[in-house]
Amino acid sequence: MNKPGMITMLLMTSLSIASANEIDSLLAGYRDDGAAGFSAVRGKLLWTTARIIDGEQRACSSCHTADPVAPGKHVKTGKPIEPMAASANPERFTDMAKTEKWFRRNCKWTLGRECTPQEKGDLLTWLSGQQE
Amino acid sequence: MKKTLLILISLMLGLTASVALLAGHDERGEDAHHEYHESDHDDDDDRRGWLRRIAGSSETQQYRDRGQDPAFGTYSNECGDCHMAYPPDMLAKESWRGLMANLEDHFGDNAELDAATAGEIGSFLERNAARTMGGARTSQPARITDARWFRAQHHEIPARMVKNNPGVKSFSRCEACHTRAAEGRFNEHDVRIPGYGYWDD
Repeated sequence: MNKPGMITMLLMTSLSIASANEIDSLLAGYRDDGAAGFSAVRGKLLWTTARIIDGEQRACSSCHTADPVAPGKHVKTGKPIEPMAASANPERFTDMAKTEKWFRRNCKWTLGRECTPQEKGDLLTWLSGQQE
Repeated sequence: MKKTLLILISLMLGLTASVALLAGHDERGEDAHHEYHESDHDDDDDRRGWLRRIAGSSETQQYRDRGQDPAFGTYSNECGDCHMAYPPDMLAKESWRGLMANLEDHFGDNAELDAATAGEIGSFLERNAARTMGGARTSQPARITDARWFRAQHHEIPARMVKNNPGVKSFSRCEACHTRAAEGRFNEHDVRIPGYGYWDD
């Protein structure tokens, strides 16, 4: 393999390792906060279950659709939302502060409260396992 | 041996990129200056202030001034994540203050920020807010679309073109019709309504 090719490959590999590392550190943080044994099945259930909050039926899938590999659309404004699955959108979960900011906002909107470390870990486990 | 070569190549690539970036920055600066003066003649937007000074004339002008107020980047990133980062002079200081104090219920969405980021954005918005005539004599609207100047400019536009138009949906999406909204330009000559085209007043 030529040198520029090798450099590109090294760079790309290190980028994807970086995002995998971010997810691992998030999960490790949730374990430190008392969560254990993350489950993709529970994550999927939480994603698709609708609740009545402020008189509206709300679920993660209201905006993100039931398929995290697909692009979503804000339920009120119609704003396009990039897919949540890391396989379809390599930018996802590469910035821990951003991930936590959106968990805080969207859990409060969707569940009427913040998500527990267990719930966040289950969701992340499910989302990071979805393949295109 | 191989490792040393790789490191050398990476260093060279990095240098080339930095030089290219620096050159690009200078060029944009000059363009911005030029367009800024030119635009003073043809812009019939009746609002003054922030639009002209920061975003008003062109994307390049916006780029140049962004460096001068570091909070502009924070504002564009955080607020522009969900909707257009509206020019701060579209609302009065009191309106921005109320809005930033209530991000947990941001017109029905949760848009809360950590205190440091919210503080930075809040003072940026208040620094660049609309100047109100006659002080706090009148109460200030919470929404841009409730401002008197906004209603006066948009009252003739029927619901089928905005609310019931799948390509627009809401007056809050300035950029759906104002093709140069991202540059801070809201001149009616640049209006194209999805599904309808030119808007002739």
